[in-house]
Amino acid sequence: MFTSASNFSDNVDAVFLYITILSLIVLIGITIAMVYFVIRYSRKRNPVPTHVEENLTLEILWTGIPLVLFISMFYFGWVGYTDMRAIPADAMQIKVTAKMWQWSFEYPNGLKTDTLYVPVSKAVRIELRSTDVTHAFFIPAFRIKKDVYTNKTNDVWFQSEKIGRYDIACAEYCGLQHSAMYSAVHIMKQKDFEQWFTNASAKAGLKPLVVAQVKN
Amino acid sequence: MAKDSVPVEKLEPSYLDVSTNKYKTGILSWILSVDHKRIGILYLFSMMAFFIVAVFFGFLIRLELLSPGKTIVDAQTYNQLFTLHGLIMIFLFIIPGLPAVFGNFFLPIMIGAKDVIFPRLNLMSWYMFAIGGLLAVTSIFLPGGSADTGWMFYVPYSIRTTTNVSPALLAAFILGFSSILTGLNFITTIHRMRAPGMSWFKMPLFVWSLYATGWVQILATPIIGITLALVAIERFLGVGIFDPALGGDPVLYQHLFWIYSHPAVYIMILPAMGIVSEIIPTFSRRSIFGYKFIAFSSLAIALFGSLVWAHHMFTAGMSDTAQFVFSFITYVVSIPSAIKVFNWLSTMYKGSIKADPPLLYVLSFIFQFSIGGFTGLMLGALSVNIHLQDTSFVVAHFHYVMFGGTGFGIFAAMHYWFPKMFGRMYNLKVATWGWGIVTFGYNLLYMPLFVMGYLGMPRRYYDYLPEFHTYHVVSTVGSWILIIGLTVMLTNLWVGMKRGKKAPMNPWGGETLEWKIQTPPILENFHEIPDIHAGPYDYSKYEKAAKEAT
Amino acid sequence: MSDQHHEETHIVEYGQYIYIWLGLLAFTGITVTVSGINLGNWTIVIALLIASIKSYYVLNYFMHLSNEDKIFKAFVFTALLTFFIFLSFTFWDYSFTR
Repeated sequence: MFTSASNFSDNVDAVFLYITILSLIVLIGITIAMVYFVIRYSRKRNPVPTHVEENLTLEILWTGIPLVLFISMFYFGWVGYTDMRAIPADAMQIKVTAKMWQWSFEYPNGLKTDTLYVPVSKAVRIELRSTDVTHAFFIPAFRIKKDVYTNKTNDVWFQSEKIGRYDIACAEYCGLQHSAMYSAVHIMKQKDFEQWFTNASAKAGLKPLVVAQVKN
Repeated sequence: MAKDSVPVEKLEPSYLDVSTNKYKTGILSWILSVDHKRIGILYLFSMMAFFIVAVFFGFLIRLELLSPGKTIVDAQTYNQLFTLHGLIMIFLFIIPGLPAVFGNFFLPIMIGAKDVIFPRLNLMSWYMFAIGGLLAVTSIFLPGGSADTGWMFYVPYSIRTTTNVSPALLAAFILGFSSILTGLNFITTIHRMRAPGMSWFKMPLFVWSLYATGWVQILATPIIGITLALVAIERFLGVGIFDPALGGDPVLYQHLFWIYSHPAVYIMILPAMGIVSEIIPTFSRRSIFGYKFIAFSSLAIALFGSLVWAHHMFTAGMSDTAQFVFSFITYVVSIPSAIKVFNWLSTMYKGSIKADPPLLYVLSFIFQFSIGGFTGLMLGALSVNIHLQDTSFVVAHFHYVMFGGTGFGIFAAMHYWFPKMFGRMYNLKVATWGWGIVTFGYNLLYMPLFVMGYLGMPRRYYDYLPEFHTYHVVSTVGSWILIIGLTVMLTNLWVGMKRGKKAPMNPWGGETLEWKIQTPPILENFHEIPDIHAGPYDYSKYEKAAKEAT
Repeated sequence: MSDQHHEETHIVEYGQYIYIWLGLLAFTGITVTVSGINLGNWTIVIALLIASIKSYYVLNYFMHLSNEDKIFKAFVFTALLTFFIFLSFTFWDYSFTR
């Protein structure tokens, strides 16, 4: 169900799970306490209320403990995010152009495709640019997303260890066919990728220069 | 309860019978009235009318998503539907819902005043609200169709689209004025009109929350006004502030938009938190736990909540410094909310609780608001946010806070103050059923959106991949149950208003000032301005009575 | 509020307005000139600084703020402070963009 297919997926899922588990514990605690109080201290069982004005120790506790937990959540989120920003220098470069309502991918030798093909276990840096309105480049299985603007180039990177086909969606509302702005990324074995790349480049009359660079 | 009630024959004519102008009865005696209670009622009915329209749009959105591909409307209509749903719900229901309706009606009463400080300005705010609302609704029928940009009007799409974006922008602009004037009126009223003896820490917590809200309204709303005006100017004149084709910056628009719109969610939630802080003590017959902590947490939320806006833009490619700062403050602002929840729970501890409909709505509020808050923590974590941004997870989170929180707060307030406002009682049994159905339908509607969002269902999608079908079906069924529940709730209130039995002065046994005056209140609330000696939630009489009895 | 302190009529000479107006024009000239020079990160700071000086004069003299009650000055100050905070927080983004 939860497809995880990039170098970020496990970390994002782990942070998400960490926050979810903590939250569930507290949520269940709150709910049980609430229901218990309503039943235990119902007007029938407990006709006379007892007064407790405030309790400084409790207030400090339930300010302090959440603060520590929240800072831990923030920290894990930040660490995961810095990974997403640390783009390896040897990453394969691909330019993505978004326009209403399709994606197009351009390889370093000029080859253009409407579907993304990349080799497995290879860092890929993606440069994003739009020609009309704002879009967002979203690969759910890779846990990456970035807005695509017309006036500045954003970039994302990923590295996938799992061969397969994954959806690319547009996540920023861009008009009529927004929900149809899907494409896909194919993660291929190095050999398959080279073969595909050579063939596709030849068909387009381009030299498959990058294959050598891609190998390292 | 019996000793509080005044025999019916001794009742004085209430605000419902006494007009403030030359028109004794009829519509003009209402729409020209400067009585804060009548203006509150005007807001209530106009707001509910808009609410019903927006619920209907929401119903159509859910129905469209019942199956992949086209179900009932085409993509363009769908895009317009979710835009209108968002615009109407936010600017015409949630923002004015508590401050303008219940704040108007009860703020002066709760601080022992005869009216707000600027009654005419108050009426003008309502006119701006009505004009803005009508403009938003008429834009649907103008040639070109209503706006299809989403309620955020993100540029450059909002500059490119040929639909009627400008009327919608103008509507939001006018509604902003209404909001600013209401906030200004309330802050001044709280500063200048408190009854003798009503020190700041003797004010009911609803008043505190309105005070915090008022400041956010005054300081943040002008920014959205100017920003939306700039978008309109951009559309007509092409100045190039936001339009990237002319050298503008769309990210700047997002900053300016969220500088208001994030604090705006606190404009929406703070008064609801105030309501909860009123209802829990009344139904627990106990003073509120940690009064000062709740009061100051409202101010803390207003302050920090104004500084976290860019967490809506973590995928926009902001600088890493900005990502760090805004993610961090986002976690800081969660703390005052957590403090409130814990204090509310402690207020119920050792109380003497009666689970009447207002309290039931509050219990739903605490449960749902907590879920909204917890999912907010998930969204605040940078790496997780990158994945969840612009998915239906965000939609669910937002609705858990705004509908499950504020919406249920409004329902709680409606049930709590209904007898005081109309002098009649609704059917408690039917109201309890209504609450049950609404809560169940609500959770069934929005829970699946969390799961779908994490699986990668983007928001604002007309069509979707087959793998999400099951979740959408469950969600749509939830929307039907929710609407049945809302119908039960609203019909019950309507029937109660028309034919309910006469309500006593203090049906719930509340201790704040509004329960110490006649039901329904007389024209200027008090014959004599009361002298305040005790805090707002002094329920010690029950304990004393029990001690004397033994 | 005006009935508490007796009405003082501030006789402002036209000459003063004209001097301030000329000063504002001069500052506008500086803004235009400076915009031609590339000062990197300082461009915005300088433009805002000049704009602040200009609005100070407009507020104080053309809008008569200098003769007003303290409370009105406090209002203006609060609004400016809010604006400053929002603006500076926005620059967490713009100043650090790679």
